[in-house]
Amino acid sequence: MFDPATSGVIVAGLLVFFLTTGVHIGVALGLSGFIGIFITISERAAIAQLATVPFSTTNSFTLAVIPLFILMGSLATQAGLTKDLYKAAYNWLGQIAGGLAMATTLASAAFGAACGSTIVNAAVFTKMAMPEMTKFGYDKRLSAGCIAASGTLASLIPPSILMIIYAVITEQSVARLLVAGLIPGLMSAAIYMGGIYVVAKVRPDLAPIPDVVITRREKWESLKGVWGITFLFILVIGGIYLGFFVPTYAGAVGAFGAFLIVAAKRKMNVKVLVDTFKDAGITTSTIFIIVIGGIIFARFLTYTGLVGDISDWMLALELSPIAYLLGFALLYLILGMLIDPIAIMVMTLPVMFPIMTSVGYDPIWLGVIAIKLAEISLITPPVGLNVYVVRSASPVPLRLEEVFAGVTPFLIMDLFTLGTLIAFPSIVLFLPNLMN
Amino acid sequence: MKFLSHIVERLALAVLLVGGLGMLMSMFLGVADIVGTQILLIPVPGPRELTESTMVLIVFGALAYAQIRRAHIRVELVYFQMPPRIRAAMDVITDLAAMTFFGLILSEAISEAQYSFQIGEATAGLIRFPLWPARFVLAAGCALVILQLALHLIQDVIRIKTGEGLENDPLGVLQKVE
Repeated sequence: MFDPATSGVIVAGLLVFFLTTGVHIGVALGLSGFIGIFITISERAAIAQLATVPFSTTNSFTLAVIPLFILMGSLATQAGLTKDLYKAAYNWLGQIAGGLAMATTLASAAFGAACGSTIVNAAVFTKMAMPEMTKFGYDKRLSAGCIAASGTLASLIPPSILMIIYAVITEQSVARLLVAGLIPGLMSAAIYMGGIYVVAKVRPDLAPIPDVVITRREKWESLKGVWGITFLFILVIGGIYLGFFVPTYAGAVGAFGAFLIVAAKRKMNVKVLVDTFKDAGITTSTIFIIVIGGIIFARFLTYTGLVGDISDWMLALELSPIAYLLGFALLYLILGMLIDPIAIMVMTLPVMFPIMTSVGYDPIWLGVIAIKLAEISLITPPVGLNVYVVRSASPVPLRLEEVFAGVTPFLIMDLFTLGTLIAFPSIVLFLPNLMN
Repeated sequence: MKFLSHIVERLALAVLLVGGLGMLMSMFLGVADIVGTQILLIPVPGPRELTESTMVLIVFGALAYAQIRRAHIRVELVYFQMPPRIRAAMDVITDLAAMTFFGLILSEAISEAQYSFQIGEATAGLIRFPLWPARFVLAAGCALVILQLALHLIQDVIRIKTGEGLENDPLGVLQKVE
């Protein structure tokens, strides 16, 4: 048997090899963790993880919230809610400086309230908003950057899959974390919209105001298509906030509401159901395999005592809390450029969470900061995933450099938001602290 | 091989769709439980236990279909910088690693399921909901994904020789919104 330090080096090497060769992240984590326990503790201990973790992780009422919120998002997409949201935002904001880009941000944020996936959000709005903004002479970089950045809002605005994963790994309240993301998510959207407005005022050539007249009646009529999703969001988040139901049932209510909206729009048919099941099933399965692999990996870190050793070593440095936070942020930003945010959380939180809470950071606040960092990493070069999604989904020819140039102002805005959330933790904790 | 791929794909889709129906059932049960408990004050028996077991079906039922679409999440930074033959070699490593991982889970899942069946394992509580069906579903899901991985392995080894690329959209997301 190897000592924990040696096996830690071997397992880290294995994990890097698996990840760089493109092995599925969940498999890479699970297999590395299994081998780690095998060479450090015993074959029996390693086998026991494979016997118990996959079943206990999936046969879980708490984690059932994930497929139900994913189902809600898939149904909302099938209901064509994005079109209704975009139309309403376009009608209300289209006539002001930077209005089309602001409408995209607002509609993305609103869709984030139904769909927890940043990728789907970015892909859907690229197909819808990119041609519209291009038609009215918007700068391609501004349009693409706005869509890529706004897509990330789905991570913070509840229901957020990332938030649930964080809650499960750190054993925090799913309900409090979901509610905690609301104000920072809306704040991020408001800062984006403010930034777009300023850019459009300073450089009107980048975002010309469309020469289209939209009557007051058209504006009010466009709201008809968004009442359903608004009601659903209030019901789901209100229900969690007031403790009327647990998050898993909030997922059930949300999915049921989205199901009714699809039916009310007369879009429910076998093809829609099959497409929804395919989308929701694949997304759920791929997320859970990462969680299962991550838990096995985390057990390797815990059972071998590596978590304790690393924590003790880092805490013995006796740095100021802000230095630990900077280290945490740097780690997330660097890993976020390379690895999926869910994998980053399952890999790093078992070690980082005890350290961060030991130096005095609130676990709920830390969750929001971690997810804000994950959001930022989704648009950071060289591998900002949302940037690739926008480039690939765009009906208007786009170069990757143009999208990266376009997201730069949004990255600066994100850093401003992050700094504000760090300086004023009460922005995050105000709502969850009011909950029973 | 095409015939076998076709059979596995049909089977994977069928299991995924059953999982989808399970998802719908969990949704209806959740709503029924809220209405029953909070409004009508008549609790619905067993929705939590049923939801838990359905979860196993949803996750492991969709596993093989996700593999068919090569939708499992991976680090693509190095992968997409490589020429097609190297990518195919990396896919072979991926297939072998996944077969090992799910193979190990499968071997344990079978014995766990058999034991669960023998002892009549069930949830604790008012309604004793049997757990062994979910355990067999887990084993079946693993077996199906291993079969699919074996098919991909053959395909990927051939790709090393021919240098052909994959037909799938590399980001695996665009088909979602078409």
